[in-house]
Amino acid sequence: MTAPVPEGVVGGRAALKADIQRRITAAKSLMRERDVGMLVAVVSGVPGRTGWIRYFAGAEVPAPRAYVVLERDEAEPLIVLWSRGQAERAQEAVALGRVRSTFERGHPPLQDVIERIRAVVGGRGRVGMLSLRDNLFWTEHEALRTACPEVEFVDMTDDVDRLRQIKSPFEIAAMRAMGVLLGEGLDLFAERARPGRSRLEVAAEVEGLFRGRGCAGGRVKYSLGERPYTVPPRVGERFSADDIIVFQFVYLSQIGYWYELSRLFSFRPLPTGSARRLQAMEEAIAETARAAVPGITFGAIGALADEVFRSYGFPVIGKHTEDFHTIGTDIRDGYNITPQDWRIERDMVLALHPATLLGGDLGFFLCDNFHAGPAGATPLSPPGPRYRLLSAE
Amino acid sequence: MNGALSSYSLSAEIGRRLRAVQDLMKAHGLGVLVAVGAGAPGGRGWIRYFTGANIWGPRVFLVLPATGSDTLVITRSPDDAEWLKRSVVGGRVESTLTARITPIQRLVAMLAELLPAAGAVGFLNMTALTVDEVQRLREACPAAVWRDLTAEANRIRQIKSAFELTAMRETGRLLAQALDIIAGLARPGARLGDMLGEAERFLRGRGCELGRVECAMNGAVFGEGVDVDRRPGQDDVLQVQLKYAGPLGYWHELSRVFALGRVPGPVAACLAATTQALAEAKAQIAPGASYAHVTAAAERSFAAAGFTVTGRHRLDCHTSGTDETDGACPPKDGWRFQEGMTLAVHPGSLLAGGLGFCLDQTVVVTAAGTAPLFPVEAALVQGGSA
Repeated sequence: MTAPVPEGVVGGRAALKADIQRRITAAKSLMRERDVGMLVAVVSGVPGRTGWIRYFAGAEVPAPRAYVVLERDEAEPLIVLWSRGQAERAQEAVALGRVRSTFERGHPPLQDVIERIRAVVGGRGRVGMLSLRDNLFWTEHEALRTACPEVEFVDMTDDVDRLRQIKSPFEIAAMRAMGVLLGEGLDLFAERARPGRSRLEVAAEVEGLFRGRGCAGGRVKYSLGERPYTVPPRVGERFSADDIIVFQFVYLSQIGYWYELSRLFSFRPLPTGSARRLQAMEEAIAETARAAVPGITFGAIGALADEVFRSYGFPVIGKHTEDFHTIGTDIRDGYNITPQDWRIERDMVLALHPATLLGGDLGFFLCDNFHAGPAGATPLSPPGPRYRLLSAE
Repeated sequence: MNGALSSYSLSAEIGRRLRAVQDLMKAHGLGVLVAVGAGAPGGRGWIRYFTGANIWGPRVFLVLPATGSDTLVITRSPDDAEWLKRSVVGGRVESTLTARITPIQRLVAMLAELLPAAGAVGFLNMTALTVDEVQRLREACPAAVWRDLTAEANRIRQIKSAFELTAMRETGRLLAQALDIIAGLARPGARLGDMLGEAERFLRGRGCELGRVECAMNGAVFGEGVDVDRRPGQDDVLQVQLKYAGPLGYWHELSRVFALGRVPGPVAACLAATTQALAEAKAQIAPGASYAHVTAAAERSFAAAGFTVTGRHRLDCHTSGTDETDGACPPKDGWRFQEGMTLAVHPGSLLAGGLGFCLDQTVVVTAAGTAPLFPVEAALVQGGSA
């Protein structure tokens, strides 16, 4: 749903607008450095890939295709999309910016972008692109090159990602507020999950809570049997008294920030082996968070997590996913596959989930969003145990 | 779930679709067909059509063979792969992340092996390949012939089987129940977020994985987004439109208007005119008729009711199925309705003053016209009192 920011959340729309102005100022400075007259962000409706609209305008717009245009001499961004209904709702919801639909003019939104390029850079010059390589369709690229043969399209994704990966105090507070809401979701889960109940219906009750608070969507997932892969529940699946459950949220906040959070639950005390694996995972989280200081590499964090599990005598057979990634207005606001030598910087927010895969295809997918600082990374969700023993009655 | 929708019938249904598209591949001399998927509107349907599974991530490829049923889904995330393995009917699933490669890298490697024997390669949603993906395909297979089969394959999936019609009815039944829940909660002073949260809880709990809700107030068609903290008052008229994919992935659109007290005269007149326009638009739909006939009928109807049409707020109708729109949108010139198509019909005329309702009904095209997929009750429902 496209919704205005609730006023009760970290200063509401006014605070969001001020933060967006800071982002636009920073992006324009980069545009001057790179000598580009316009910056065009390509947005697809994939969950976790609509972040440029949230970053530069502050609204969730579930359009299959949209473009965010920043012009050097315009104070506000322009968002172009096809659907008139989505455009009208987005115009109401954005904290800053103009939204334009091409529906009634009968042409695709890219045509408006081409017209702006011609008007602003005069058919020649440089235009910066965001998500040029992994979001722009090749047919769109051909159309741009055909319409503007003398314009140089410069991929600025990595540069602007470096800007948005460093979070402001407002952004940290917004993500912390989401951590609190998700904590309520965990409490609701603990209250409702019982042997015999539908996993799907319990997850749905939690989703109803989030949607009712204005969250735009996301996923609620489980893993069982100590396998590290979390998946959404299906019709007919029910909890049993022997279940050892990782319950995970990958959810978008009311104010446009993604958050990953999971915790472990069971209805009976954990068997000795499981308890020991949990202890190792807790230590891996603590050690990697402590180590996550500015300058450390992605590869070093991964190696450290593996070392913790080895110190417990567990056979390490690989990784089941990445050990962490940056997170913000997109689920990953950086690389799709993080290079081993990529380095953490101060005030990044990391979805941290040591991903060491143990023999037998075992692993607990426990995660949280962490704020990276000089003394290490600290969780953004309220303090509390990562494991809870639930009532079976 | 409806007893007619067993996993056996889904398996048989997917076999039918695969054979139909393999006939198309043979006619075009294609050895492999690749569906380009993404967890975005318009990007999920082909994967669901040929595997029965939903996708979420930014890129998924489905590789369909020229014969047999050994399909392969390539996705990035191991979690998504695990999810897909539980729901894909009759095929394999691979993830690429732990090998530290992307789905396009895996696809390119596979096509490089297959192409000498396979000849030309077909694509569904070929235009949705990214710049990087096309560059990798061209570099790896410079002499390959690529064909876009999307339009031809859409003509197959737009004609629905009995199984598909049943699945779409099932989604409609769930949406109607969710609207009933909202009706039970709609009273002056009730918080909008509480009503919508309960509807969401119900739909998710019944296996609807994708979807969205749109709201508008007092006949202003574009509304104000969904302000969850808004509390409609005694004189407010609330419209809620639900667009969701059901447990088997079939989309249905359904809306209802909730009056919390007295309905103001101009709003009532607009609602009555829209109800009539919907009826007259549906009456134009029959095999051989076109989208333009539907638009003209809706506009005539509004004019006859004394309203001035100032523009359009949405399409008047579109095909619907495993994607919200399983064909070109807006439809190409010359496109005609055919028997067995399912259409979401919702007159999109924008009336003077920004007025309009989005009243919709999903219908199946029959030899004689249309039949509703799910019986729609009166558009206007009186909510409870404070």
